[in-house]
Amino acid sequence: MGDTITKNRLGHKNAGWGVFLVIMAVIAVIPLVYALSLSFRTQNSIYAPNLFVTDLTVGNYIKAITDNPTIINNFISSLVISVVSTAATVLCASMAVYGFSRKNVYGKILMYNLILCTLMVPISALVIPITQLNSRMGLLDNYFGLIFPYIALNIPYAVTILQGFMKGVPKELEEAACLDGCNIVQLYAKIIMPMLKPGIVVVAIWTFLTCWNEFFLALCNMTKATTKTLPLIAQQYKGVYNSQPGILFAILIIITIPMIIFYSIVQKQFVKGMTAGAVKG
Amino acid sequence: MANTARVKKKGKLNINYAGYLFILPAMFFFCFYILYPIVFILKNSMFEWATLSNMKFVALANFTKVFQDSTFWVTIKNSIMWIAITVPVQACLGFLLAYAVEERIKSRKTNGKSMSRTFYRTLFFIPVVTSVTVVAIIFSKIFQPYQGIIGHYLNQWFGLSSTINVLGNNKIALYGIMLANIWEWTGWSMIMYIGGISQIPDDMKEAARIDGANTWQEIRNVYLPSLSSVHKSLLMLGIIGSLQTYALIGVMTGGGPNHATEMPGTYIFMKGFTENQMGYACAVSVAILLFALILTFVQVKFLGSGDFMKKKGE
Repeated sequence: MGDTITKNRLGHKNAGWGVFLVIMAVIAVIPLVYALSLSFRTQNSIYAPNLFVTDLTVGNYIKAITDNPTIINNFISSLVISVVSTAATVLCASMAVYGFSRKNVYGKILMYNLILCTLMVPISALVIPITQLNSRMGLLDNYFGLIFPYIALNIPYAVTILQGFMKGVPKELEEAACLDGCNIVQLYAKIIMPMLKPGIVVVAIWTFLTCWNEFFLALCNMTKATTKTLPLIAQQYKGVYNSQPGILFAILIIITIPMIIFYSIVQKQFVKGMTAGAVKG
Repeated sequence: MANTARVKKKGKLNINYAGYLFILPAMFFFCFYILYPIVFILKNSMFEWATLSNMKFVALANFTKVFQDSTFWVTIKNSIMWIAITVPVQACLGFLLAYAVEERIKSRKTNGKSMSRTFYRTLFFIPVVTSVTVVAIIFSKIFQPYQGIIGHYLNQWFGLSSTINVLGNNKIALYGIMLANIWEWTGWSMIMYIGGISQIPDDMKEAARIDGANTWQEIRNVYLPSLSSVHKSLLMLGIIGSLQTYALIGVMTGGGPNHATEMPGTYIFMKGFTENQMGYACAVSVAILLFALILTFVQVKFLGSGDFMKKKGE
C-alpha cells in the first residue's frame, strides 16, 4: 500500500498544484534574482527599471571586496553571536524544563509562570536598559553584550515549547532509568535530551534566525567596524554606496550566499529533525 | 504519590538542590537581562531624563503624555494590523505550499524520495535565511518609483502610473512593508506545516480518500484539524515576531511618511535616541510591555499555546 501511495498519490490531479508551486517559486526568487541582476550592472544600466539588462560587469564585486576587507569580521561576529546564543539558549532552556519537572523544587511554579509572562516581550522595549547595563559592565562592542541578552530573550519561547515536549516524556521511562542507576545528570543527558530533540530542532532554528536577524539591540551596542553584525553593515553600506547601488547589491549578495549554501547542505537533516516528532505548541 | 510527598514535606523539608541547579542558568540570564531591564524601565519611566546623571522626578506625567500621544496609538494600531494581516497570510500560503510540496508532487522514484520536493523545500526557505536588512534594502529598491521593477511592470502590463510610490504614500506604505515580511517568512510557516503534515497518519488520509472527499473537504476535515498545534505555534511566533519588527521598518521607511508606518521599536528609538527623551521612551516601553503582556494572557488562556503551571498539574 505504501508503494501505491507514493507512486500515485490517490489519483489526484496534480497539474493545478504544480502550476501554483511554479508561480510561488517565481515570486520567491524574483527579489533575489533582481538583487543579483543589480549587483552585476554598470553605473549606466543600474537605474534601468527592468529585471534583466544586458550591460553587465563584475567590477562591483571586485570593488566591494577590495574596499571592505572587514566584511569577513562582520560575518564572523554574526556567526559567533548567533551560534553561541543558540547553543546556550537550547542548553539553558532544556535544563530549566527538566528542573521544573523535578519534585521538591519549591517555587518552580512561580518561576515558570514568571518566564511565561515575558513570552512576548519585545526586544525594542528593553533596548534602553540593556544598553545601559552593557555599558556599565563594559560589554559594549563585545560579543557577550549581545549574546547574553539574546539568550535571555529567547529563553521564554524555548521553555514554553520544550515544556510541551517535557510533558510527553513518560514517567515510566524515567523510573526505569533510575532503577538502572542513572543519576540526575545522566537522566538529563541520556533520557530527557533525546526525548526533547524535535522541540530542540525547532527552538534552535528559530533562535538562530532571530539572532541572525536581530538589528535594534545590535545597532545600539555595536559601534566598532569589526564587531558589527551583518544586518548592521548592510544598513550602513546602504548609506555609503547610495550613489553606487551596484556595489551595495554586490555586498548584499556576498553576505546572503553563505547562508543559502549552508541551508542547502543541512536542509535534509533539518526537515528530518522537525518531522521526527510532533510540532507541539 | 503526591500525597506522600506532601506528608514528607511536613516532617522535614526535602529540598531538591540538583533541580535548582538545573533551573539556575536560565533564571540567571532571565533575571539579568529581562527582569532587571523591566524594573529599570518601570522606575525610569517616572523621570524626565536624557542621561542617568541628570534626572528629574515627574511621577506619572510621562504616562499621561503617552496615552494622549496619537503617534503612540498609531504604533499600537499598526502592530495589531501587522499581526492581523501577516500571520494569517503567511500561515495560509505556508500551508498551501506545504500541502502542495508534500502531497501533490508526483514522486518519480519508487523509494518515495523526490528531487523536486527537496528543491521546493530548499527554495521556499531561502527568503527565511536571507538577512532581514538585505530583504529590506531589496524591497526598497523594488518599490522605488521610476527605478523599481514593481512600478515599471505594473505600468507595462496594467497601465498603472509608473510613478507609483508605495513607501512614500502613507495609506499603502505599511502594506508594502508587510509584503516584504510575508515574502521573507512564508517559508518558515511552510516548514512548520511540513513537520506537522508528516505526523498525520497515512490511513487517515486514505480514509478520507475512500470516503470520496474532494480536495477542499480533505483539507478542511483531515489536514487543518490535525495541524492545530502548528497553527498555535505559528500564531505565537507571529505575534512575537510582529512586536519585534524593527529592521524592516527602520530601513524601508524609518517610520514615515508622517509616522504612518511607525511601530513600537522605531518609535522608542526615535524618542529615546534621536530626540533624547529617555524618560518618555521608557514610558512608551512600559506601555508596549503591558500590551505584550495582555497578548500573552490572551494567547495562553484562550489558545492554549504553553500553559501556566498549576499546583495540581504536577
